[in-house]
Order: sequence, then C-alpha cells, then structure tokens
Amino acid sequence: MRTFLPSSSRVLLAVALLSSLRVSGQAAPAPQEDVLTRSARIDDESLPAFSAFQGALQMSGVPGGVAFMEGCSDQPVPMVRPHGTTLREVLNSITAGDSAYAWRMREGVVNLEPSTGLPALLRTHLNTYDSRDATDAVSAVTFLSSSLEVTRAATNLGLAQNVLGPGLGSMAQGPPPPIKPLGIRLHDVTLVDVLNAIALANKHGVWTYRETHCGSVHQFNVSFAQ
Amino acid sequence: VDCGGVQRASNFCGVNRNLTYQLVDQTGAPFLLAYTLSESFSNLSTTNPALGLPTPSQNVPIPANGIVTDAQFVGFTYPQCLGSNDHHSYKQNFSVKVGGVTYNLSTTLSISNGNFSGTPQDNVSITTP
Repeated sequence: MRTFLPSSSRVLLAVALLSSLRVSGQAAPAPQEDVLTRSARIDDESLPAFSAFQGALQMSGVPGGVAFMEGCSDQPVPMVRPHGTTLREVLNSITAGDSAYAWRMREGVVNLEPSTGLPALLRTHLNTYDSRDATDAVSAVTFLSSSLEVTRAATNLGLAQNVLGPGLGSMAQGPPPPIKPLGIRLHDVTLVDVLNAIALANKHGVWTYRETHCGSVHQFNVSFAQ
Repeated sequence: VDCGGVQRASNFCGVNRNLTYQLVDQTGAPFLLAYTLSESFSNLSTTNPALGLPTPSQNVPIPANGIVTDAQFVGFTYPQCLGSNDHHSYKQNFSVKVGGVTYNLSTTLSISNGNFSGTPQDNVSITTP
C-alpha cells in the first residue's frame, strides 16, 4: 500500500446543528423474509459478535445496526464462529455463539443488541430529526451523535462521547458522482429509530453503537460503515 | 472531514490526521480492480483507559482505481477534551478481499497520537517490507 497526500491538522470544530421539522420520508423497506434469505456467507473465522454481524450484513447488502457493551480493553472479548448460508442462518449462529446478544428486525433493518435490551441512550426520545444537508450516512450519523439532544441525554446518563474512529473510506478518481441529500425527516422517535432510518435511506451499511465501562470511564461512540 | 469530504466528527475536541492510500501490486503499479478493505488494530498502549482501540472499519468498498481515505481521531465530543498527557499508541493492519479471496497486506502502521505533555501530536510510522 502506497501512502501519499498526507495532511495533518489538529482540530477543534464547533458546528451548529440540528433544527426541526416534521414528517417522514424514506425508502419503503423490503419484505423481511426476502432480506433474511439473502446470501450472507462470510469467512470461517472467529470474530467478536459485533464484527461477525457487521460482516454478514455487508455481505448481504441489508441495512442494520449493532449495539454492544464492553469493559476495559484488557478484558477478553467473547468470540463467535459464524456459519450458514442465508442471513437468517448466520445471524442465528452469531447469537447461538454469544447469548449476550439477540437480533431482531425493525421495519426492514436488522439490529443486533444486548439480550437484556437496548442501551438507555439508544432509547432516547427525539421530538424531531432532520438530516438536512447530509448526503451520506456517515456524515448523518456523525451529526446525529453529536447533536445537542443526544449529547444532553448522554450527559444525564453519565456518558461521554469518545471519537476514535473508524475512519476508512474511499473516493473515486475523476469527477464526483451526483449526490443528493438523504432527505430524512422524522418526529416523535427514539435514537435507534433515527439510526435505522439513516441505514434504510442508505439502502445498506451498518451503524455501530459502542458503550464502554471501565473503572471511572463511561463513554459511547457511534459510527457507520458502508 | 476526511479527504473524501465525509464528515467524520462534529464538535470534536482532540487530535485528527487525514491520510490517503492507493493499493499497489508488488511492482508498485496501482491495483485497478474494485475491492473491499478491512482494518484491524492491536498492541494498544494508553495513558487513559478512555482512549482504547478504535472500532475497526470492515469491508469498506473501494471502487476500481479508487483512493482509500483514512481519518484518525483521538479525542471526545466537546466540552470534554483530551487531558494534557492523554495519548495512546497502537498498530494498524489491513486486509483486502477481491474475487472472494482475502489477502493480508504487508503494510503495517504504528500510530501514536494525542497530547504529549501538552503538545498535540499524531505520529504515523509506515512499515512496508
């Protein structure tokens, strides 16, 4: 791999965000049974449940999201060995390998979440959500997770938001393709509803909610992988 | 914002470095086919348990003749910021999947970033056999 065009900067960005609006607009979900029978065969290797889930959804092209909790970085992470051909089979093998997680469909989006239920922050109620000028899911999730409403809810739960990546992406050489805003407008929803709506509007990809508790450290991170 | 124009952080307080890559073959010629790229992290060393390993990106689709962008971040959403000596270091490795076959790349990055006695730094050392 050859590196070029490195540029560095230290940043402290302050971006004003989010406004209001109502009404919803998003692509109609595919029938649930259709997406669960898609091929999702992934490499036969041991992976953490969240990684296996992300790989299976990316392989099948089905939008989704995963919420996982973790302890200190020196604590061992349970591994699963996903197997099966269809998305349903692979998802079942993941949850059979790590019973701390369960998967479910939510209006065309597959979620992997703790068996004990969604983390409290993901159940945060939002009066409105408007993706505004965001033209890609990564940017939309970035603005959402650092919005005033989410930041305030996290503070009330004693959670800080770390920003550690992930950061891999791509760009094509030549003229950029035409882009248009995602055009998501929702009202009276929860944070997980909005993340799922972003994944659905993107038609594929996986959001990841990661909550870390280690001693006095209580933090979360939300990202989106195409 | 990464080199591809994607917003990676907002209200961010910390250290960021953007890099771009191009996959080449053993002769140094650009690899022109589309592929998916995954990364893995290891060898974490940190002065603050809040600064663990990043969540690895997996199966990122890279178009034919495309450029890889990578945005490294270490920090928090404002008002929380890095402490004066908050930093971590780790290794980054890559794998490429093309034609259903996964190839581990020989390039390894050693990354060390954060605040070092009050000085923000993002140091990247690239090893290619």
